[in-house]
Amino acid sequence: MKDLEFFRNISIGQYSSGDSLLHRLTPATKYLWLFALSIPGAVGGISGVAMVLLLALCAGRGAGIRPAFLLRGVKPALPFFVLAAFLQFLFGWPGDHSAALFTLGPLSATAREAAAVGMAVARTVALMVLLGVFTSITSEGEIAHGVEDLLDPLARLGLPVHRLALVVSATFRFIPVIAGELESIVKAQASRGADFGTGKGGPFARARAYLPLIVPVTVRALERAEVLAEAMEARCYTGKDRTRWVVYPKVRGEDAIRALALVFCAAAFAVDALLR
Amino acid sequence: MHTSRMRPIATHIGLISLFAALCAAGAMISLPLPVSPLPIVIQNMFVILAGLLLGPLEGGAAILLFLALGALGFPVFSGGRGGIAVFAGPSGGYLVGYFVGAVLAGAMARKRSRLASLSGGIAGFIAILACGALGLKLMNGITWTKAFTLGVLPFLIGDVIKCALAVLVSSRLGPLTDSLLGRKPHG
Repeated sequence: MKDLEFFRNISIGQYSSGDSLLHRLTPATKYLWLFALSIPGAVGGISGVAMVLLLALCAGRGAGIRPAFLLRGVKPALPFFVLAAFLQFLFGWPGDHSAALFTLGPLSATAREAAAVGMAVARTVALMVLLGVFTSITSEGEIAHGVEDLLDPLARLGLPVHRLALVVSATFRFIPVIAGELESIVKAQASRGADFGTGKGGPFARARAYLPLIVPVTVRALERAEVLAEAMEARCYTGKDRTRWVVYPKVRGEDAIRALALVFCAAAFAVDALLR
Repeated sequence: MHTSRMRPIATHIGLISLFAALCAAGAMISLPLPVSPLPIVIQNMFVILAGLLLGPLEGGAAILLFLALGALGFPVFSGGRGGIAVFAGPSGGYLVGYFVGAVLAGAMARKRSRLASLSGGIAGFIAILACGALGLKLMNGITWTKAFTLGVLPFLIGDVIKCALAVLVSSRLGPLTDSLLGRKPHG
């Protein structure tokens, strides 16, 4: 049965409640900082990436999140780092004349390849830590409402912003429910002797063995969608206006904090350009 | 099930968010295979199923939503990964392919005949694999042959099975989603 234990226990988001200044910022500000730091993290040079990582760790510290917790979140990505490095070393770049560091059978690492791998790893770590901080200080409700607040100006252009926010928050509620249902159906079928993956025959015959798993999951999902639609109709939802009346009060100096995000983003690129 | 009345907006919202959630939950279950070290991941099957059942517009919206959640950092991609960096990694091409595949499958399967569903499902999976191989080629600067051996060949048998499964499920449940969305069954 251990093989059938799914990851339903990973909390989507891993929000840790708190009352720090970072927790109290409005969702729109948190998004703004997330984007402002993601840009140098994703496309900046090494010093920009280092600045992002450092700031994210300090911010986490300020919000009461231990750096060890944030760095542990990187662990699931480790096999993919190894795979990326393997692919990089397996296939050389044409016209790469930098010094070879080591050669192992078909694998050969040149200095340029090693730098590229190191940079990719640093980028991923920085972005994952940044997102870890963001999801630690932003609850699921705030994530959906933040989308709505940020895109609010576009609603005037006819973009269905409120519907979008509703879909986001509905998805968050459904994910654990569906994961749990999948798990219980797999266990129920397995305990009745269902044999996944070992059946003989052509693809259609093997696919048929999975039908008792996929059909109930999908049918239950469709039923839930209908129940949700009915509940929304019963509450007179027409898809026109916002569906919430939560207002997030700005903390003192919130506008300055928002402006600082842009300043930091520009500074990261400036430092990159200076140190190059 | 109520089929007499059309309830477009609420039903669309419910179905789109549910299929985004199905794709996300598909990342969390991996069925172990006794014969192979690679587990069966059913995420791409739900992606194609979203296209086949909901059609190109709603199916595409569900996949876009799922990809956006992943890009924001929620662990909804296979192996419990998330974050914008995944798009720049070796599997980034497949993620883009999810969207292309779902839209393509949905567009081709509109007629709800066996043949239309089957060709839609096949085209969808081919789109995912092609985008995946293209991504692999561009990210690592490798040749088409290598990209094919690394990025398409290992998944071929599993994807044929999943394609067959998605087509079987969509032919059973297609009429149901059509009536939920207030669409008249074609042909």
